[in-house]
Amino acid sequence: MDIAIPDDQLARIRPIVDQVILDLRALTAKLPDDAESALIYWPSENPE
Amino acid sequence: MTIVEAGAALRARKISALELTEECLGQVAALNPRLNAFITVTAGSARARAKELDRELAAGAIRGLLHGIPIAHKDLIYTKGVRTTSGSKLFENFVPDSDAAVVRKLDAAGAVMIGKTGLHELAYGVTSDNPHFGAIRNPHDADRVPGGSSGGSGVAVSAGMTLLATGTDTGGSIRIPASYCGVVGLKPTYGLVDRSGVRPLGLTLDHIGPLAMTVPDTKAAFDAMAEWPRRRPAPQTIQHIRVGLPENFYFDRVDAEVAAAVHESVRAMEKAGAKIVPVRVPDVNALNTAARVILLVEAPSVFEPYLDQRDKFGADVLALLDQGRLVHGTDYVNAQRVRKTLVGEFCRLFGRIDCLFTPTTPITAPRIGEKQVRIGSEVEDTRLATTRFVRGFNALGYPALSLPCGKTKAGLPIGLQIVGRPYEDDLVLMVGAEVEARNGPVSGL
Repeated sequence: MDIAIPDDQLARIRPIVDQVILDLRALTAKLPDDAESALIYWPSENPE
Repeated sequence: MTIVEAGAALRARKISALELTEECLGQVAALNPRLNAFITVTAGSARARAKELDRELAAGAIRGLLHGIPIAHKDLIYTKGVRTTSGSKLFENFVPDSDAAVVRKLDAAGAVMIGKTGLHELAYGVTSDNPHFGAIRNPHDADRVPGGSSGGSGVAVSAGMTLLATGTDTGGSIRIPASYCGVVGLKPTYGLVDRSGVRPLGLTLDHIGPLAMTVPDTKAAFDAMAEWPRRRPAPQTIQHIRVGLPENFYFDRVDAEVAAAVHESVRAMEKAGAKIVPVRVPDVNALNTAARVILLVEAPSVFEPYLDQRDKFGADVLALLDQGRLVHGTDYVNAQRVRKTLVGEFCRLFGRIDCLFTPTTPITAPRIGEKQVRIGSEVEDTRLATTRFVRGFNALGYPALSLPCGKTKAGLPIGLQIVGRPYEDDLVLMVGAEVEARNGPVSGL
């Protein structure tokens, strides 16, 4: 079940999320477009 | 008294585990009403356990450096039969039926649990101003925050209520209270301390570690907590250790007294024979952005089953959980891709250095309720300023130690962060011990 976020809360938090996603997408645009970059990093893969 | 000193006194039979426990319980009784570091005090079981360990000592059975040492566990670490609230209304009556793996390990090492320390609600914040259990106060100035989320652990160690405490660190939650309270805190390499039986927050970012008065004390605790197979031994000597000194990011927008104290520690290391290597660090803003997005999504994925009980969350935590629910799956995956790219860049950087010195926090402890802080001529959101130098190392999984490196003219502690390569926690601790020895005693009150 999806719990609705009340409108007043949404109005407060939406600009914050929009900004961080804007920042992220600027970084994503610079990622290499190859299969290697598609591998998600998980911390257990830390180089030893 | 430090763990090393107390351990020596215990083994020499100059003090008993019971006397040590009573000393700490006395400090808790005297100071907790003002500082609010503990949510639960387990005085009765602590006394019984201390007596048991004294009997072992009398019989010549010594478990190790932590035998008879009082410890407090952050209240999201499960303790069998002892309420574990996670600082949340949701779990105010939750009593685990088993201990967390780290509690079992510390118990086997001979530590005496004296209680459970308070925290920022659900470990999701840096002030420890908890709407359900009250604000935790900094012992250096009770009008200031102790940092968080392991605020109660930082306060308890700093004020001498315990010799050792556990904490968790998802975006700086061990190192920030260590910095603001003037104690030592280690965020180990990701995965080196078993997280079984600890309430999660950020599934790929959570770490568990110790807080103590000195670096040798912290190492003694870490030795008891950590999984050994993947740890690399420290070098024999500090000579020729390459200390990276950032030319960018980590000294931007930093309080002048904080920057000066960190640079003083760098000079001390140079005198000790270390090689100082000026470095330009990769894009830490990018790393912080990726880490923020990852945590925004991972936290509500953990707490989704409870999100219909909105009245049981504090406003700041609920806002963060709601923010995470607005992030698309594609953005979460791309944040992980950005993280992977930066892991590669930091890996190359750490090919040229053995450790990196930075301030732990750009500021000293802010006042309770202070939403924004002024650093020089700029005003910054307190939470973002507080996490700016620490959060990235959760995304990388690198070991990071915070230790006191001085105080401001106003008497507030300043934290130095030392970061090392994965599984080289022992090198970080060795370098930290050298800094501490050269700086002299600056921990605690």
